[in-house]
Amino acid sequence: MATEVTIPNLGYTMTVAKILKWLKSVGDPVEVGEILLEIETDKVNYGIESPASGVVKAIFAKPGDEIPVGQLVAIIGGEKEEMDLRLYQKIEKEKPVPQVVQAAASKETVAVASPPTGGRRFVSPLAKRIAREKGIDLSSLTGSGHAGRVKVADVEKYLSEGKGKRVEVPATPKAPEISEIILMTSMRRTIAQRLAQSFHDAPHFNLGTEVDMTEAIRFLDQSLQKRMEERTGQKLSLNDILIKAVALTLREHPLLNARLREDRVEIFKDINIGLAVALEKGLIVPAIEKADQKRLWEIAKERKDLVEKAREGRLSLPEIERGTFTISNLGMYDIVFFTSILNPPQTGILSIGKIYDRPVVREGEIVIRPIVEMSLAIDHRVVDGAVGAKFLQDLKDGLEKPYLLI
Amino acid sequence: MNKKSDLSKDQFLELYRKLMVIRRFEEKVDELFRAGKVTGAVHTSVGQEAVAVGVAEALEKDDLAIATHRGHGHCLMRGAEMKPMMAELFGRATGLCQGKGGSMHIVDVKKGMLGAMGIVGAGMPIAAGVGLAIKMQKTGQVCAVFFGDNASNGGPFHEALNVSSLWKLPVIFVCENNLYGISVSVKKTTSVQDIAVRGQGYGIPGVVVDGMDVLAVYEVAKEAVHRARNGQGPTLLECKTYRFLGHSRGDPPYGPYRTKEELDSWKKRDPRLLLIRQGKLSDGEVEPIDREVTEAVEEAVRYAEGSPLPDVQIALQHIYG
Amino acid sequence: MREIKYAEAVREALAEEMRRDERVFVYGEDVELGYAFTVCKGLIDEFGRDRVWDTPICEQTIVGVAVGAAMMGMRPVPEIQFCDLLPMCMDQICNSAAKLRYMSGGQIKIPLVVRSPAGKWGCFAAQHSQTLDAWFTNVPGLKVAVPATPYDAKGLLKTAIRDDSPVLFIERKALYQIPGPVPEEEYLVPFGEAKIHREGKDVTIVAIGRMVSESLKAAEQLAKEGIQVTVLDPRTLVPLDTKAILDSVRQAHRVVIVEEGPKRGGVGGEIAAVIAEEILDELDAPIRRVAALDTPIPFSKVLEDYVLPDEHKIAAAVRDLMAF
Repeated sequence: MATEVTIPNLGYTMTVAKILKWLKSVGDPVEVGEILLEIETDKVNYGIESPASGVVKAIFAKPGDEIPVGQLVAIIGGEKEEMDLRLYQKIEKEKPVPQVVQAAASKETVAVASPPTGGRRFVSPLAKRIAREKGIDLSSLTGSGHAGRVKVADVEKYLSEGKGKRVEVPATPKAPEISEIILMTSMRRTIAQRLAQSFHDAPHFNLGTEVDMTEAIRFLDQSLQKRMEERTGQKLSLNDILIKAVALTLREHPLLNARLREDRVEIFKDINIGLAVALEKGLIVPAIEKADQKRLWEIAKERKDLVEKAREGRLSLPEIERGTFTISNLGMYDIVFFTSILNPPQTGILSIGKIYDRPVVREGEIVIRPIVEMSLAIDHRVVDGAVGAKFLQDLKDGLEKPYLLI
Repeated sequence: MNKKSDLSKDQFLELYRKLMVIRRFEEKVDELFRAGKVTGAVHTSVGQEAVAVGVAEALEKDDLAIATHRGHGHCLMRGAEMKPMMAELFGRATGLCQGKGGSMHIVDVKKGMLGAMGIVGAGMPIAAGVGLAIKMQKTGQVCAVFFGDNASNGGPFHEALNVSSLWKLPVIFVCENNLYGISVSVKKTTSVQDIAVRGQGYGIPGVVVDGMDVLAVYEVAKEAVHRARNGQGPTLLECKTYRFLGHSRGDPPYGPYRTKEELDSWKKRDPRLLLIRQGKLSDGEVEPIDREVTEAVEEAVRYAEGSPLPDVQIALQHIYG
Repeated sequence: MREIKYAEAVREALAEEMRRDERVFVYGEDVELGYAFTVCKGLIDEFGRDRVWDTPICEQTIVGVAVGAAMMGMRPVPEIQFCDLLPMCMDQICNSAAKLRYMSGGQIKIPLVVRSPAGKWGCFAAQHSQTLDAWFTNVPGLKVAVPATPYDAKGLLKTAIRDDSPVLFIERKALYQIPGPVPEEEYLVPFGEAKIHREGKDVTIVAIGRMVSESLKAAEQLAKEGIQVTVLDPRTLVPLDTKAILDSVRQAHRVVIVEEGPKRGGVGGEIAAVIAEEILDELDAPIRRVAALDTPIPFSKVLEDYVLPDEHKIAAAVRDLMAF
């Protein structure tokens, strides 16, 4: 009868043992209690005794191997015993995949820049609660506590003064009445603060162009899509083509794939194209990494994943923070043309309107072509208009004649 | 029971059986522990069985015992059943302590086993308290407390011996001197060769005995119990013994701090072999006992393995009285 | 109602319980003459050396013996002369008394009470003036009583002796000679029930032990300044009357917790955490703790007074909260 020899658990910290040497070989006779092999643990060297008498039928490890506790290393059986050793073949244990610790995607905060420290209000928890219950806007309360802190007494004072007290109100134009107050979420506050800062800090220079998308749309040809799906499982969208085209064009125009740090322009190593995704609670911009190096179907896959994650609130901070250039596409609405505010600290952002069939002139003839209007906003501290114009020119050419991009 | 020369064959076989109960139980537990089926900290007493058996023979059914972390043998000798003991080691709901104590804290109050104590030396002051209660309640019981060589170097030993002697408490202090406190030789820790000598420091008799010889242990334990029960106070017994396995799992029987020669020389005096020789027991007489005990241990393991895990709610019980 | 001193109240509790239950007995260092703080004085005359006796100096075994005797069904009430000596018996208190019942799956009961006085006496210095309540509240399995008045001392001790769990009964040496009203008739004070000594709408003061009387003095002073405070005494730290504390803070919206032990890691931190966890939105000001400074207690009186909390420091904390 076969007896298994396994690595014993010899210590509280022990998880593996290293085989040092075998004192018996396959075919050797062995008595119960005889040392079969020597192992090394994190603390001691240990001789494993044979659990049975018989013959060593099989050995599954060699000197130098590191074997986990409990794993089979040998079989002892009767001399004439036949065994199907296949039954004892080790199944390669799946190596544990090291867990990449995902920073918990906060459902609300996209904050990369720290919020401004000036002008923060302190309100006691109780005062905050009462104010909320009574529908009082905290900003209308004056705090009499420590460092301007708002206390319950201040809320009570506010409430009592509002009731039937005759105050001489100076003749000011009456503000329109408020029907509903929506408190800003922290996400909204952050978006507000960042966009205001971007708008304030970076002088936005806007350029626009029209692009004939006839050739670009060919990528979405039905039969091509079918083949693409069969081979890769992905279907392309116009965004994928735009992302790839922009990424390849940025290669030739690195200044638009950069950021300004004090007096240094830092060119980003990778071209990670961010795609603006509009969620109900606010705008979020996940980025496709190294978009210039990826195949179209790879971009499609990553885009799909990121948008899904964005909708489910599962984006990680790196996925948002790694963007180096942003594309904003409002083509799903009837928006012909629009401009965007730069996504700090990036230097360029491309806004894409709706593709419309329009009459255009080609070689003296009027023809109908699918036309889209795009605008590029650039940070004029970093690049001049001409640089932006050249980029936009190359992008247009690349989209109208894709073979130029290869 | 009578002197060894007056023992009948049946009495020898009974002692042999008791010794084998501990032997087989402990060997099995060590095996299971190394296979990872029993978890936590486990300390076996293979080789030291004669002390547990010998002292237990001298105690009456309603006497009390307190042991150390190496307490399975003492628990068995008080009459605890193997199945709930094994189940406790497996952390099951059917364990003696419902899975809440484990190997180091094995308790069977109904059988007079007040507990294995996890803290070295803690049992001795508690045993003094038990002795005090016995005196106050006038029940005529005695309490045997077991401890190791290194425990006799700690404060509680000295305090407990002092008050037990002072108040003439019915306690038997049994030191199992197995020459090592984990990895440290008694030569490095203990200022006297024979721990029994310390009894003198507290005005009580200190007796050295061969801890491998069940009958020798029984003789001196009987006298100590007699003294205690007759209000003459405590006795300090020092049983010279040796553990055949390591301190716990992960500690080999010899190598890091014990030589194979030393182990082998003590193995020649295996209590099992001594008893066989003294009782002139034949293979035909011991083999059925061996088989029976082995099977009982296997059954206990099957029972334990088949027992349910405790309901987590029990973790919240028994916190207060 | 008659008034008796705190020490007498404890002695009465011991005597009454010993009369009531012959399993109760008292022992420790110098208890026969009642030498240290007079608490056990005279008990030996009524109950004899079989139930009241002096031990050698062996704190660990004093408690160890209590554990063993309690396991056998007796109800020992050992005295540890100063709570500063409790660290000597931590193993038996925390590893044996607190845990043997649990580890044995309920087979064992340990109905013992360890009595020990804490707090300042007056220039007894660092090793004889400590308040170690917090050390024991962190050990599951132990109950902790901290009576502040003779009435509570007697009632709580009787409850403790009748309780089947191990109890740390931490008295206050500076209160031993302070009298207070104590009824002649039999009464018990249950564990887990706080007492409100004074009510006021502005701030709740949760006060422990000797700090109850200090808080009441502070309350008088504050009342003159127009600030009304509640003084709430939990009386037992384990179990803690969380409900009473939270109910009171819900009314006052401001709370100060006062204890005689050092602030860091003290009982105040635990109570503050419970308040913050449960009723953050009821607070109009941060939770304040008044406790001893985080230093060993110095010998010289001026230094001792500087380190330990008192009515002035309590009043200052209350004023601070009002203005916050």
